[in-house]
Amino acid sequence: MDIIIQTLTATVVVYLIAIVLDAPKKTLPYAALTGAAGWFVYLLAGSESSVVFSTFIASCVIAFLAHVFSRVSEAPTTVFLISALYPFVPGTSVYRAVYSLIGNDLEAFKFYALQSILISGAIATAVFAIDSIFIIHGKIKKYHSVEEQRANTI
Amino acid sequence: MEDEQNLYLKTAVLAGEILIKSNAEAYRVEDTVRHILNRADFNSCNVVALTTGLYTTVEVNDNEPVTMIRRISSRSVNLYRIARVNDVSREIVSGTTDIKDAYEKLINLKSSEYAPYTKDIAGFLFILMIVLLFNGSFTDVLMNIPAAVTVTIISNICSKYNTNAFVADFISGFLVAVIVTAINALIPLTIAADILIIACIMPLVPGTALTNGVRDIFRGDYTSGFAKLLEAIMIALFIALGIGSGLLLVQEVLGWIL
Repeated sequence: MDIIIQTLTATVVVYLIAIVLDAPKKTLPYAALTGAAGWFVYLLAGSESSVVFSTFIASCVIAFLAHVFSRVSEAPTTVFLISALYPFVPGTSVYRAVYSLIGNDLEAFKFYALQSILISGAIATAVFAIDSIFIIHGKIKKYHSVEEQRANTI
Repeated sequence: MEDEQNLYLKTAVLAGEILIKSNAEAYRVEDTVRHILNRADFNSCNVVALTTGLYTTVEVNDNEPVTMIRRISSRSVNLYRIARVNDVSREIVSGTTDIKDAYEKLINLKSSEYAPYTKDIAGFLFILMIVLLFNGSFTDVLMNIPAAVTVTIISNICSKYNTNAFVADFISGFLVAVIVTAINALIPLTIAADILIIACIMPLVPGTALTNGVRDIFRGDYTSGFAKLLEAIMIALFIALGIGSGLLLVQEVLGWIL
């Protein structure tokens, strides 16, 4: 039950941040849906693994949906990607790092500073992986269509 | 150079300029400019998009090179403009719009689909909702209203006077830290102060610069990728500085009073 409420909250959150970032009106529902799916997966994966890993899985889902929706609604991938990834940006870790630095707790500072770098890395790697899959898919499709044309002309 | 070719070059450079200003990825800028230029009969065209500038050179039929450079000094995310430029460039490439209309469309491109206050309200509600998302209670949401209003007003003022982005981040971080810790100390309710502060800085954190920077680097656009990553690190540092000095100040003042 908690997961459902959280997912609904994430939907609203991503819808709002998409407006702040000036996303076109027709793309707002898709962006919100992408964010909701990402947060849902994040919660599912989060119960038994580290934050970094669940962020990675959630970002993969978001990147994949962003590519799908960019084809459906004919808007650039960035529109969905940036809005939906917003709740995952490591604001929490950055804050806790600063907080422990002020409290002179260097061990905690190191831990949270490293965690924020790892979370950004996880988001980046996930986006890159899904991007690559779609680029390679596009190249294979192009190659085959060229081959077909050549076969037809002969 | 013929008039029409000239218009193609102007349109392409304008499209690229709008994209860089809206914080699009470097490969998207270069692809868009190149696609538009390919419609005109230039012997060759070369485009380099950096985060701070756009460099375009074309070679016209009689072997005279023409170069256009745009210096871009301020950028802010605007997904609407990215999407619209994308639409217009597709229309040019598919031939459904002629180049004159396309140029007019780009010149008259709106900066937003929303009224200014809609964006402010959305930003305000975003901060409150993110408290809930990070497992805050309803008391936390109510207690976060003063800080959320402050952040919204500051970002509004700073975008109005076009101040340096770092200044806005520092001031917001500082005020949020002061307001939230003050409320936490003065009001006898249990408040998750850390969640409140984190929620307020979430609209400021450099999510876009980070994501696009890494996408650029992975595509081999090292210059613009690292520029964006550096921007992300700088923003994060300034927010951290603001929060840090705010927390320290309140600690000192409270220790002095109590």
